[in-house]
Amino acid sequence: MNRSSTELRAKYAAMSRTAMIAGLIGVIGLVVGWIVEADKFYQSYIFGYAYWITITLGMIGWMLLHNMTAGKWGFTIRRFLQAGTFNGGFLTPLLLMAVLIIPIIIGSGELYDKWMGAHDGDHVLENKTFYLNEPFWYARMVFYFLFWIFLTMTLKRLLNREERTLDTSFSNMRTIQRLSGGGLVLFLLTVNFSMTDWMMSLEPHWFSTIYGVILLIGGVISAIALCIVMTVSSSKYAPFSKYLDTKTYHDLGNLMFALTVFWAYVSFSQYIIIWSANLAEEAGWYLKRTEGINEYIGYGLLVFHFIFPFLVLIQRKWKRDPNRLKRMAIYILAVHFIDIFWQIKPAFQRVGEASGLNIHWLDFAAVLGIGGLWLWLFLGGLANMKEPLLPAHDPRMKGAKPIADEDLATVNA
Amino acid sequence: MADRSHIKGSLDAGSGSSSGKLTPSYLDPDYRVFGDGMTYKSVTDKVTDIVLKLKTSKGWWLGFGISFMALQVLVISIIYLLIKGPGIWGVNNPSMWGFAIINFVWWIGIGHAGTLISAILLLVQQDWRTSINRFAEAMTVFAVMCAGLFPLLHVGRPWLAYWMLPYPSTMGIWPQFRSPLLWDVFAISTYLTVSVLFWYLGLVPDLATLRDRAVKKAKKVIYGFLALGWRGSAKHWDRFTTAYLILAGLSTPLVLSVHSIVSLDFAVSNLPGWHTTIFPPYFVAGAVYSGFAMVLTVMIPVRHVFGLHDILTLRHLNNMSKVMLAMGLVVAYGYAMEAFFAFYSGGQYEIQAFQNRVFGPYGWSYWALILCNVAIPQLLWFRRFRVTLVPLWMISNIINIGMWLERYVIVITLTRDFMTSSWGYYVPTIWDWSLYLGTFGLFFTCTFLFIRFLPMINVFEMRELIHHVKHHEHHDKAGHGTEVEVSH
Repeated sequence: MNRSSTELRAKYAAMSRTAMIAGLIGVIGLVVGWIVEADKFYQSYIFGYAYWITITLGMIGWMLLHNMTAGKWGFTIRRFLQAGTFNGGFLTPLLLMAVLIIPIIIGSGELYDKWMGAHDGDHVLENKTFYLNEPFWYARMVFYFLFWIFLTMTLKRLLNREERTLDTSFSNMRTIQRLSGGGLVLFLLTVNFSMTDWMMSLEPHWFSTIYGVILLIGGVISAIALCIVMTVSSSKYAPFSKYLDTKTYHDLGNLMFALTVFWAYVSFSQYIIIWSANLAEEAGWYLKRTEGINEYIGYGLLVFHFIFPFLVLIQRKWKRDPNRLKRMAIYILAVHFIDIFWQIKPAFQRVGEASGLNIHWLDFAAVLGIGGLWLWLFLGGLANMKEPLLPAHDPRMKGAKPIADEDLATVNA
Repeated sequence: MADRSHIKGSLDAGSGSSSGKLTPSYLDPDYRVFGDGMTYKSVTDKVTDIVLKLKTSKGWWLGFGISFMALQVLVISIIYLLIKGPGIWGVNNPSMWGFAIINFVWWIGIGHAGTLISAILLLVQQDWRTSINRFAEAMTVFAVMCAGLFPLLHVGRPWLAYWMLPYPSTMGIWPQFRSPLLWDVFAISTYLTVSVLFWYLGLVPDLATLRDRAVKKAKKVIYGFLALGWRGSAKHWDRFTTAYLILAGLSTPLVLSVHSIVSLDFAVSNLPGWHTTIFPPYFVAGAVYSGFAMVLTVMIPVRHVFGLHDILTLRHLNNMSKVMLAMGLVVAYGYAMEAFFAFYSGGQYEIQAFQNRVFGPYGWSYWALILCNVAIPQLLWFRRFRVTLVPLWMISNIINIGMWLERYVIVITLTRDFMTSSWGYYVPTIWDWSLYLGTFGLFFTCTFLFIRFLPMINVFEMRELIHHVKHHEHHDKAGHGTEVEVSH
């Protein structure tokens, strides 16, 4: 049962190749779609992009949070978080997302035509030009990615210094904590503004102060779900097999559970406030999403993104049994797809016309294409990682040093 | 109760931190959950002696006396209010929500620390909650009592307050179920009920300890009555633990729901500046923020007066400060979003409401709020301010003021609505102030009585914690190299 970490890395490498093939198929689909149906292409592309950028941002969020709180669950998944953001070198998921923003910029004239185009005397949109204008929008894109890359890169360097040189001095750790704390504050602001720029401004008349939080929470749940899938898949291999225990699974499951509830809380907050006020500039967003088939997707989200996972994950056995937990994590990743779909795709429909489901084969191609490339870099990063797969030299990680030394020896061999 | 005083000595979990080495905070002896030499017996002695043996100090009489006088101010204010009606307050068109609502939200927020510490920190297994939970829970109960008075009096005819309850009335009129004001009735009565139950249930084993240790007959009878026949049998403990966990689970959603519903009182209206979707989580964070600030405000002096340094260690203060800082940042995020989306909305009313708030006649209160709630609490990033008592106490007081100002700023939005002809200026009267002062009297009278007559630290949980730490330390030493090498 207990296999070596070399085998684990080989497994990652194999999965990485599979992901790359899947990604290439998706990309071919996207290219074909772009040639055949350019107008649908951008809508699907931003949907696929939103799915993966929220997960990427969720991973950054977890990393920052864990650097400050240092729970055992976080050491288990730290490598996944690093591999999912900035892992050194050029081939990393975060840099991939920075590059993949280019099609959105090319298509911005189409996606954001409501505010990028002529305002036609629309006073509300004219009042928004201080923020919603093209040069500033581009500048913000650059800023967000520079900030996220800089933050994760610096953290990676500091954490690695701690592990490689065994510099576990207090001052180094303090720097990591400080940077994560301050970084988290700025990070939350950049997430809010980027979600405003990419998603909210698709419907430029609409606004909601909590929108960025809702999308971030969705991403944060999916990020932890992805980490759970990775953890359980790696659990039979060293070094994980020697370190993982039921409590770690329980903690990870609890985090997923609590966030599912929190997601429902913030989503419902937004709904009840906008529904009860019924103001023209806000209600339209929900009107589109509660018309025709979209209404049932909305109810479906209530059931499948909240009630069902709530009833399942409140049970201990679903959190303590790794295989059940993994199944639930995959499930969460699937409902995140529906969530993002419901958030984004109705934006391209009009109130009163939204009878059908605005779904297109390109939606799947986009999620597959971007996701395949994302996972290719993510898993490849793990397979080729120079560090042991558990950050066991972190002084806060009790009792794991021998495990890491052993793992490190296999890497260097 | 078995005397286990023979178990003495090193419960010193971090003795490796000798001089000259940099020590991470979690290993620093000052940051343990209890001090050197705390044993089962000494914890019990220390806490129960305050109730049973120590002579009532002059300081207690002074504090209680002042609080009790303030309580009389409350009584007088209420009597005069009932005679004359709410016209004695400063509320009038257009600002019908004056001090009553500000103080209601402020007090209810203060209660949240207790629920968070008792319920959520229990569920996430934070051992440092043990010595502060009892006190914080008591504060919750008292704060909710103070809070409940305000809407009750604000309805004008409190003797008809039962009309708010949905009973099959002979008048054939039901309350408006879509109104958050009605949800408040349910939310707050539930909150008070669950908080009292939770607090009392947690007290039962300690009440039994008091009963067993009491010398005087009257005390034996009273504590014995309150202890509900607790014998400490395994069956009792089993049921107690189950009941306690269930109540913790029930309390957890209450942390979110109560203040969310309070926020909906504002957000569900169509008023610019109130109608914003971030209100529920932002109100909850604000509530926890002010709750922790109030716990620190009260506990730092109590710790000093009763010499509880070994039980309420710097670790507690440090952790509470961190929670406070985190909540303060969430609140600051809320302010930032309000400001940004007021302009992003592009709606002239939203923009105008925000400009009025910041630069209008009450602009001073907005900037004072930013100073108290956002600027000054940033000092908590530095450990020095988290563990030095006087500055920390001052910061927590500033946050109390800041959180009051926050509600003031929000409520005062009403003074300027859509037509300039109906703009007004809200000035609280002496009766507004006296009622507010009076609730302090109620709160602190209860707190002083609590300190004097009930164990303010959870004795049995402290003993359990000592056992746990000792057991773990033993375990760690037996196991393989878990001690941490701290390099230079």
